[in-house]
Amino acid sequence: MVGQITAYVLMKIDIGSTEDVVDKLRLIEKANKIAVTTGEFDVIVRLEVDSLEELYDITVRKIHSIRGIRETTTAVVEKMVTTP
Amino acid sequence: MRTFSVTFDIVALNTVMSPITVEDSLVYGFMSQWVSFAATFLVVAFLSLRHTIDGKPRAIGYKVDPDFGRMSILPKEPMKYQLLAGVFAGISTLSYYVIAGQSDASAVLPFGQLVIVYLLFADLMAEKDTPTIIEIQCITSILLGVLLVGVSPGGFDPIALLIVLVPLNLASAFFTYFQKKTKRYAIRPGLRVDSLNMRLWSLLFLNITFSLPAALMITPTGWAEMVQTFVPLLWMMVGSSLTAFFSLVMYVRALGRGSMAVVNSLSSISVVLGIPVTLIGNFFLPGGFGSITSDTFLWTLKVFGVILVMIGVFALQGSDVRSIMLLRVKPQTGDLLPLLYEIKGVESASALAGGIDYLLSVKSRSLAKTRTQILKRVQRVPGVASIHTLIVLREYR
Repeated sequence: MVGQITAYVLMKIDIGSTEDVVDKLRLIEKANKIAVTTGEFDVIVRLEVDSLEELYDITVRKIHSIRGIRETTTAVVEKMVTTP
Repeated sequence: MRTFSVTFDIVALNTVMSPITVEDSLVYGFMSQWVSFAATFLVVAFLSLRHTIDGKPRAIGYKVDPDFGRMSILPKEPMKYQLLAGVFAGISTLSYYVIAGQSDASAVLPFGQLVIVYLLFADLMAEKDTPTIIEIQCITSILLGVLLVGVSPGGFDPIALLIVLVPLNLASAFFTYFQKKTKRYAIRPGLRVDSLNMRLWSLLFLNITFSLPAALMITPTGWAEMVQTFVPLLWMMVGSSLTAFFSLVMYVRALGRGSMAVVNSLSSISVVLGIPVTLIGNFFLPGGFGSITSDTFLWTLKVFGVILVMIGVFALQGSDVRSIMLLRVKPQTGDLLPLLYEIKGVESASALAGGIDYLLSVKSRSLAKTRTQILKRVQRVPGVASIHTLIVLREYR
């Protein structure tokens, strides 16, 4: 089923942990895009979930338990404009 | 799909009409195009049948393109774009059949890739921008590659080259431009023109444009040949139609997502397949896949040509720089989403809940262009208070 809620999780990662963190993030089924970036945040993950409950489960139980992630900011998409 | 479509045409021409002339090729083209329209009409009618998907009654075609509802007339504006796309495609198709009557599949496929050069120029002109070194490299590489692919034992055929350079590819570039304009047209918020109806209507306009000059060029002998060869060639034409249909539907969907030049560069994988298909095909069906010269030197030049085309198109694709822009806006700023999405290079724009107000996913040809072409335009949007640009080093999908 197509996810109803889209959210971005912006992360700051401990130095030297990026590869390990990305490897673990790739195991999350609902993470449909992972970008390693320069600048204020080190990794950005786009999640597509069916409910806020599922978003909570993924962020708190899966993402927050990955070693090397120092800080996360979760932004829920209210509206998105994109080409199909 | 594109390789198979061209291969069906070349095999049909070489097996049933051999030795072929330009008129034979036009006779085949005339039949093939109208068979293609009939096949497309039937496929789209079938895809209009409704069944339950995710608990909702939807057309079968929803799985091919989520914007598809049923076979229908497009709204006035996109229909106008489709008319123009069809006219240019008709010109390009006429040129294609003229070339197909003289060449093998390994040459016809790379010839078509020259359109990337024109689209790149169109992108640059639209952006009022100077090309980067990598863009110049790509253009040179593709141009030289196409020239090498076109060599024949007697040297270059200037007429064929002229057809390739002007009507075949220039018209194809305009076709791509109007297809992209149609695909990005929003019928209503969240619903865009679907690629299945686009293919149906553009094919109708294409066929009318192609058929008028073709009918004048075909002699009475040609019409008689059409009657004789229609049945033996039917399965080849249906094969060509169906493979062309799905390759174009996928192509149009991709056009809705990326820049014209990059989408075409990705579709260029068909170039590589041309040589093995021609060689292996001729092994099983001698002469059926076009005449093959035994001159090793000539084949070496052709292979070099294909390699140059591929290097050009892959370098173009590989040079893309992706960025994510995080925006915060001033208090009492209205909805900026439509304004931000309108900026060329912004692939998607999201309004967010929380400390960050908007997230833009951005793509450009170089870091410098991200700054000059996109960031500066975002900065000019009224109400934007701060922008953080994050360059994507690696991306997983």
